[in-house]
Amino acid sequence: MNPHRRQVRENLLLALDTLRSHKFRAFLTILGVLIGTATVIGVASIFKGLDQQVVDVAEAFGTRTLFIFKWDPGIKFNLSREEWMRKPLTFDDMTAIGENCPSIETVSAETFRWGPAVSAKYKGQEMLDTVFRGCTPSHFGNIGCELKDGRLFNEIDNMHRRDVVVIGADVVTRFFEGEDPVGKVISIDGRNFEVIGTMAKRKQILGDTGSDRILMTPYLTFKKIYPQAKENFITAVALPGKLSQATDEVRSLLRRRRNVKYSDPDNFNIATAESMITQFRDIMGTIVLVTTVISSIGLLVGGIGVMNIMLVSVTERTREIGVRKAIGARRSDITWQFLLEAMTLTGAGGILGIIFGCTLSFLIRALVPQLPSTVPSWSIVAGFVVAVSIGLFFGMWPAMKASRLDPIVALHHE
Amino acid sequence: MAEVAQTQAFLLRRKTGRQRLFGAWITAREAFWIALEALRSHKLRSILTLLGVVIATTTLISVMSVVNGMNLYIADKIANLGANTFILHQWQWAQGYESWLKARRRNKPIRIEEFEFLKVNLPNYKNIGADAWIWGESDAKYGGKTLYEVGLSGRTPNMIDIGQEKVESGRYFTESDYQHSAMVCFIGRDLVDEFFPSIDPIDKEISVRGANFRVIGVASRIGTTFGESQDKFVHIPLTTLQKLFVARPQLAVSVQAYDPQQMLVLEDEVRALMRARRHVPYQEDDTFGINASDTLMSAWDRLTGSIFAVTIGIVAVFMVVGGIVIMNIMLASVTERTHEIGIRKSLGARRRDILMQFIIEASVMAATGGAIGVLLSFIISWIVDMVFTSSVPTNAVVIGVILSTAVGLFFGIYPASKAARLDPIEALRTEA
Repeated sequence: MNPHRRQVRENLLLALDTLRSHKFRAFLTILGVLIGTATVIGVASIFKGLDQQVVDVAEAFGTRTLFIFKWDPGIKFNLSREEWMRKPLTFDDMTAIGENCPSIETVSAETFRWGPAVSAKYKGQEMLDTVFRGCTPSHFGNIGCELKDGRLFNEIDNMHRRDVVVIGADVVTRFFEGEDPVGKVISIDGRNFEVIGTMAKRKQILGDTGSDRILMTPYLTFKKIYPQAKENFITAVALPGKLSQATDEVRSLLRRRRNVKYSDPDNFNIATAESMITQFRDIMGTIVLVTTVISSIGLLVGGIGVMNIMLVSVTERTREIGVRKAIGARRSDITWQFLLEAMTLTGAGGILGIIFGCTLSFLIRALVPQLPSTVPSWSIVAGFVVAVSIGLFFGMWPAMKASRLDPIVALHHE
Repeated sequence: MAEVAQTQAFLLRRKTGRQRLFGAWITAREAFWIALEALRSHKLRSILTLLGVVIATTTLISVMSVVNGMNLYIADKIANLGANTFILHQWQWAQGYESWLKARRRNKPIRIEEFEFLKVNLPNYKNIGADAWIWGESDAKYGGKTLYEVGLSGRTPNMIDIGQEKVESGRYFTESDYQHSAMVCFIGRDLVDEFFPSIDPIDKEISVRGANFRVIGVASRIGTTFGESQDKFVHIPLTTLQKLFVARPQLAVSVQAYDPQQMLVLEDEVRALMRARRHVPYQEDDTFGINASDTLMSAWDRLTGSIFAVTIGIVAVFMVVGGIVIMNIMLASVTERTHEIGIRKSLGARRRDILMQFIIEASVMAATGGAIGVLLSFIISWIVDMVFTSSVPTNAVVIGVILSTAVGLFFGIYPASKAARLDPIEALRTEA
């Protein structure tokens, strides 16, 4: 069945010639495939953009960092009773991890209070949706926070429980427009703090998840103000290449410290950048699938259009088929002729659809900055391949029909 | 074909007034039958063309149904505050995190005095009740069994007429229970299932938060919302709640009107009374929130409206693809039938007749596809409803059929006008 290369070229030229002779019809047929491909690529690019954001955020935290908390970091609505009853991780857990786990380089802890955000004030301006937390000095490095101005607090600030604060990028823009924030005094929950440093803007998912509205004070300062703050979020950085080993060490240490019975599951959670990405992909998996299926329906409709037009084309050119058969064309030649014609049609539609889809994705990125949609490279290849295979699939039947024509009957046809 | 020609020759002679209208009707009817005939003679091609419209319509209506189903679910389970009822609370619900933070700090909670004040001063309401929730862990115990985290709330006796709960057996508490801070409770189905699977719960004593309450009534099952059971509650008289747990509870006051119009009037009345009582200056915002189901629904719309609109928009594009298929096939059909058009023209068919013939053919094709699509989407919606939620909106049926017909009309215009403009001599010369 495999035709000679010259025959392929000849068939291709023949196909292009047909397209040229029926410009408008070819354009309409292509249009269906074009719209279908463009929709699929547009939708895929949105998900790719979202995925890229999650990967960026997770990797900004550091690929060697373990995040240890009493709950899973993922989105979950119904916590079980066991989960609700879990006791918080403690500062001592953090010290123990630092001392007893040989694969761990540094550890740090962040402490916070449940309940609504505290308000921050500066020169008559007020911010209600702040994220006020305390952390040990090494925490900034562990979560991949970059300093922009001033300095981070150090162990001495922590030991002296000094009222100093390092502020996030959004706090800077809200309070210190055209002003140097370092050295200024802001009031947080009715207490005065000196701003000693600012953080660079962090990568976030879908615009705003609060990591730029942060007000970070030394761990012990926070404890001084809110002695009842019990929750701890611990991060531990593993030595290079020892991530899984470090996870095991931390896990067995915490199980011992938290008296988890041999047969019981962990009553805490250790997450890594990788596990967070996997979790996100698990959640998104079905959504992506459903959306992709729905958007491929356009392609299906376009494919049906191709099949229809190919059938018409076969009927119209019955005589031509008869002539070709009479002068020695084999079945396979006729089949390939029509298959290639259909594939050329849909392939052209696919290419145009890819261009259109890329434009669409570019427009989305320009209009909705929170959602940096990017066209995934595989979708360009997939778009083209799928478009061509649609031609192959939906062209198959008309082509077979054409090839099975009896040359005598076909020549008879007026 | 001869009949067609006869009809047209007949029509040529009639041109005035109502008869002209009648003539147009005849043409249309004629064209309709020709269209059906054309569909029948090219069965396969018609099926394929229909298939495009069918798939497009099915997808469109199915997506609309899921969206509609989700909206209905929210309206029924979340935004349903009771018939003609609105709730006065410390803040306006579902207004976003920041405004909640502001309202939470600025607004004072609604207190018993304010409830009593409204009860006396509000004119012409059907019912006014109040409830207060106890937050935190309320575990219910009976006969060695424990049910964790039941919703414990104190209510006025008339809340049974306002809220969603219905008495299944026993009774709700009365004015007398309320006045005497009686140690009685009204429980949800989940407690009955847990504690009294085979015995009558009435007059048994259960313990909630360490206090013993006599069960006086059971509510009929409400069901779940997002998988969360709504039947895990214990109602006690508001006064009992004050006596045992909180002396000055924070209330949600439910006001029920006789009809939706009056509800709007009552909302304004409550707003005026509360502002006056709280001495809110003229230019200031309310220091309380008035929540009705429409404000909750509009919050939901704000949250999801644009996403839904975009999804429906994307799916509607498929209709265009379906339309393009029709246009393409009609063009091919015109080319094939050039000879027939030539004959019809030479026998006196006017441009209008030919135009009508092909436009109606395209529309009939699209409308059939649309109708099949509507039927299919009913089946899909029925299946989706079993695992998720979906409800075909009545207007979607109309939209489906009208939209597909319109698509057929629109995409039929170009091929039809092409056919109508054919020169009869040229057309006749074309080989059939």
